[in-house]
Amino acid sequence: MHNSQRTQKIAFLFLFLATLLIVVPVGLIVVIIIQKGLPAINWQFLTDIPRQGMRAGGIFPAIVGTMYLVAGAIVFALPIGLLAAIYLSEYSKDNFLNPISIKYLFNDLVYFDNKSVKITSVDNFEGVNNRDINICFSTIQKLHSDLTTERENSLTFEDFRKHKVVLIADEAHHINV
Amino acid sequence: MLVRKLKELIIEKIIFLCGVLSIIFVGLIFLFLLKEGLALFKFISPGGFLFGKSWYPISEPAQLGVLPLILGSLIVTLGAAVISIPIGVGCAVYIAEVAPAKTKEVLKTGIELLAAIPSVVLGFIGMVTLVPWVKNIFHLPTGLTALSGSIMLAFMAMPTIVSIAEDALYSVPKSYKEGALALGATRWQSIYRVMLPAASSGILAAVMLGLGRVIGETMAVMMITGNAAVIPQSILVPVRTLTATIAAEMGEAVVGSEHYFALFAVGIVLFVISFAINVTADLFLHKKR
Repeated sequence: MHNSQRTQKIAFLFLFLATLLIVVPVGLIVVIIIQKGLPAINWQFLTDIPRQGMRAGGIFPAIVGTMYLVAGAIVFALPIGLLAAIYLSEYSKDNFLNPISIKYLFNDLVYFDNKSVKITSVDNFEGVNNRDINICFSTIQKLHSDLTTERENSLTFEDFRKHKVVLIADEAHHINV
Repeated sequence: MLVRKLKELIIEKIIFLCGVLSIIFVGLIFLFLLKEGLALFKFISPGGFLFGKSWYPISEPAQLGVLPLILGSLIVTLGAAVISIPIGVGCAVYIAEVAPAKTKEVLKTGIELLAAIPSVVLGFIGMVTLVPWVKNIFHLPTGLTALSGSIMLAFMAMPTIVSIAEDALYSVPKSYKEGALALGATRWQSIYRVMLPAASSGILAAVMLGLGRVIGETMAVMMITGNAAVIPQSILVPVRTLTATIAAEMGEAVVGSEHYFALFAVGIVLFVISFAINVTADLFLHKKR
């Protein structure tokens, strides 16, 4: 007992040292940057253009250049990135259906009573397989138009009358519409 | 009614397009790299390129053997791995399991700070502090060596390793640890025998991602590894990495020349290496499920 306590103390000491080995250099780096760089920073340095072949003056053009670059990158990246994120989280059925998707929501194999249960996508409730978990993907818009304008292979009020259905909805308050 | 449906449809298509756009871009970049890189093999054989022992791209005739560069990258990466893995994983364990709550917050902030330092800044800090230090300790003619590069790169890999390994440790179910403690294990025994094995796939993934960052790093290694394209005999000599070669020479290479195509081929080699590392990391990350 005594021995294992001592092992623990030694082990924790080493873990602490490992942490120090990262944190202390970080502190040193920050101190070095501030110590060497701060005395050189003044208003002229930040707002002037380089003079005398970069031996005097300031870095204003470099600051503006960096800003332009960042602004340009955001202009391209923000809309595409944002919409791609919306696609991945809202529209991508892979979250539910594709076990290899990085955002797959279920276990690779779902078991009920030791029986593997598949997760499948259906367009209406006529095609359901009683052994599977069947998901009908829709949007509020689509659900509404499917129910009001009847077409082949689309949802009808009949479907909801005949089958037990669990509704899972994001922004669920729109369902009342 | 119809207008609303149409609107929804159009928006959905635009969003889908953005979703696949990033994949398309990656595909296009890869195709471009492949097209320009494979053009090199009209001039020299793939074997001569991969196993050629000398890289003298502007001599006449040009010698384009990439072996010194591959070995340079590997020795720097290996050195960084040896330094960063034990320290990084140890730090992750300390933060996740040992440190008191308040210390934990301070330490995490410190490590995020390290991740936030731009690599070029790390590079020149290394150049003015680490390089003279290495030179004096080992009595070398120059401190610009693979070792200096390894140490600097280890600091770039550590934030990745620490934060992902720490996540892996957190995601081990509490009951594992409680079970171990209830059976009379000390905290260290429960960490060493239960927590670490349970989190091992996540920790391996953390290591792989950290190394992926190291092998792709350019600016800092270019500043402190000395950039001599010779096959390294020890860790205390200057080396030139794949990334630094591309960065240093692309500006001077004549477009459409052997040298130009060779740099793209170097890019393919680099891409293959880092892709392999990332895929391995991904396999480990998903193994658990």
